[in-house]
Amino acid sequence: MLKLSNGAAADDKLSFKNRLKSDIRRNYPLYILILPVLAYYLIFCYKPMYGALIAFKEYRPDLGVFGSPWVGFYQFKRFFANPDFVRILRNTLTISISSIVFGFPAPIILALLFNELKMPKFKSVAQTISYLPHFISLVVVCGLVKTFVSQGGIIYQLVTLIGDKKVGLLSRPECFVPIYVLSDIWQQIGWSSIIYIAALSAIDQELYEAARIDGANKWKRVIHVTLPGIAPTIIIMFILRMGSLLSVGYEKIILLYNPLIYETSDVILSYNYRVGLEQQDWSYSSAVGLLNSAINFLMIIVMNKLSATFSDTSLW
Amino acid sequence: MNTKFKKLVRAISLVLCVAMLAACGNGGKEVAKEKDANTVTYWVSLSGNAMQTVTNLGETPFAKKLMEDLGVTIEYQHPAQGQAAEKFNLMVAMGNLPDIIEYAWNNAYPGGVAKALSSGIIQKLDLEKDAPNMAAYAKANPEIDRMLKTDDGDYFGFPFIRGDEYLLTSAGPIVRADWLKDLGLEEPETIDEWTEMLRAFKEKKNAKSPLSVSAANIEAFGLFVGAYGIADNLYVDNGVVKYGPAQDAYKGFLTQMNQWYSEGLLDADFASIDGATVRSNIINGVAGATAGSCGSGIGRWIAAATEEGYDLAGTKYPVLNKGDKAQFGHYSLPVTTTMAAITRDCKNKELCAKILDYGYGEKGQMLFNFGIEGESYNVVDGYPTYAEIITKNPDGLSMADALARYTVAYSEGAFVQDKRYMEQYAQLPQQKAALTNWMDTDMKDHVMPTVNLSEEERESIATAMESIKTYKNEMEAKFIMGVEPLDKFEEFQAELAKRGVEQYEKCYQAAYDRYMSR
Repeated sequence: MLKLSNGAAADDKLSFKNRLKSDIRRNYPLYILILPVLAYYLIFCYKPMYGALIAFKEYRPDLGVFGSPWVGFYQFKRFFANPDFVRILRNTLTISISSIVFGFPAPIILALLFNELKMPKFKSVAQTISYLPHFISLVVVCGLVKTFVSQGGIIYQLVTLIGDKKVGLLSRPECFVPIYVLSDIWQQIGWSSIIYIAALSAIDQELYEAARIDGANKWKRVIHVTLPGIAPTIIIMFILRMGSLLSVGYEKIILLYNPLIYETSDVILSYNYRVGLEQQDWSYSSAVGLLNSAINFLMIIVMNKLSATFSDTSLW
Repeated sequence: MNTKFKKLVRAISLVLCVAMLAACGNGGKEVAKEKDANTVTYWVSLSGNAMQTVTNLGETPFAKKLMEDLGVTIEYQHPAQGQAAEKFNLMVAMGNLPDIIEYAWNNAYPGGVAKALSSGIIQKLDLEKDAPNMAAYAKANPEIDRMLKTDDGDYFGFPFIRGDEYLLTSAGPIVRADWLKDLGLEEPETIDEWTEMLRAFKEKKNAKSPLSVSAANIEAFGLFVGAYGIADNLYVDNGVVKYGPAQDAYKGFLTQMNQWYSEGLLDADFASIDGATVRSNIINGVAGATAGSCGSGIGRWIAAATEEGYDLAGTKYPVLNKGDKAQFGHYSLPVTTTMAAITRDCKNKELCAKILDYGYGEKGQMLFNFGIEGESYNVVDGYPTYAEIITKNPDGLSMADALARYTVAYSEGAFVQDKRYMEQYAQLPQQKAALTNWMDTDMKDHVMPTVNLSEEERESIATAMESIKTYKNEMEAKFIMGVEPLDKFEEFQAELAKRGVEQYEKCYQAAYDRYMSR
């Protein structure tokens, strides 16, 4: 990326076509290397995108994507007119924001803790153990969660030491968000911390020595050396995370929720699943999915802009 | 070192080249095999039971005999397990269809069978000419004939038909028979007797959740709610289509369930439990009553239980007053939504129709239900009796798996299922008694048939359907658990009305009327 911008500055006067030509001549092995990636995106990400058209149509399989009649924003209006629309949007935001507020700092804290460990053997064993849940299938994880929080399960019993309600935790609307967020942290914390651990290892050790000579204690060193050292990584990860604000992991929700707790657990994508796959209302569910993606796209742009304004780090 | 490395690289490349050439050779042969006029392609999901022994239906003795009888070659194509819906959607959207597609067309194709027919995805049948066996069957059973055609009177395919009342009911309430005996109780018939029984289970048998049943099964079987003269969904009452939860009687059901719940008789987690939990509850004595089916319920649970004297009984669907006949219960339509259809890309319609029609004739029915005479069944006193290869398979296959090799009776297909299959499949006396009990309802008069909604009707209720279902499921659970007080029932009805329940009933009423006048 750096190289490209330097080159662009040098051949400023030439047209883009000529610049590209000369650059290809100079760096052709690099262009060959990137070709498969470009092809991948074109074939698997951009080509199928024309299918999003059916969000503005009344899709009929016999007429195909292009032949189906146009209906404009009809499908979107249907979604807004749904009596549960406000609730679905609220749940999506609640679950998503709680996951960010609690789930985002967790791997950073874990990485900082690992960083302070002095015994290499213990450190690597602990790290490996923390990755493991990531590799368990989501279906199995949800099975575990259900067993633990239903009546007689271990977490249920711990919770009932404080409260005295008799129903399983997944039958209480107020418990769903904590269950969702905490189990998510449990499963992903180790895996997500890898990138921060990598960033930590890149911090110059001399900075720590200098800080120590200046009389900084452990805590001060974390605040003034470690955190600024990994700040760019944190910001980039944060922007990327904001981009999936509305894409709450719906597979997990579908595996965990039940009608009793719809009021706190039904999100855009789980609703979409019920409509799209159970009723074959393809155009409608495409519209809902498209709306979801559009908001996500908007979020990532806004966050990137904010980040570029207030710090020097941004995605582009 | 370097030359050694180069040699290694050369050796590897050589091996790879040879492997590629070999692969090409195989591929070439595959392509060379041309599709002759006597071959048809047949897309169908391979049943889980058949999957135990074969990877393609064509390898089973059943399919071989079928091809031999008809003198044709059938190339079966199967979607990967669990991906049938995705595959089906892709196929109809992308075109290039196999000659025959067997699937739940009416549910899976947007707009249902009528739409698939009018848009030309599947070919219309001239019943007399194309399918003489099915035409004869339809003539002999006018009730079924009505289910075989669209509102316009067009015949569209070869559905799986359950050929006897006996095959239409296979699930219902199940209780611990040995507990009843210990406690000196009769099998419960009324709701009050149920209450008494559940209390006894709780107090004297220490059952933690005497009644362990999921909300989904309560709805699907119309269990308990039927005692109040309604179903938990759409049903027909003297020619009028009604949505059960919108009726006043629904409150009676909710009140009763709420009472059971607050007494600790109904499983506290009924809204979230799944089949596996119910199974372990009923096997381990946590529960004494539940709902389930004949084969995967009673049969498997009795086999899995380790407790001495463990026994189950399928009891009658409960009613309010002793001596009444239950109005509602589990009931599947004789003509299911699974159907083999001849697609628009089929070039040889007569041949496909001949193949599919076979399962509706006398000879074909024997093959589809019982397999090969002398091998998988013998006729004893005029009754086709499964041979030992099915009932006590020498290779240790379960009866269902063995059946899947010689017949399609256990799963679904384009044929008429025979009562005599079920009589032999349900082997335990408990299962036979359960079926008799469960069948004793008038559900036949109340069941909503498979109707064709017009495009306008479909559109006008598309959003309402999901919204009503979500709201009803949520409120049902809340009322039963006491999260919402029952005096809010009128508000519940008002909200249902706001969500368009009247329009919902109206559309189905119109479609039902068209159905009845076919």
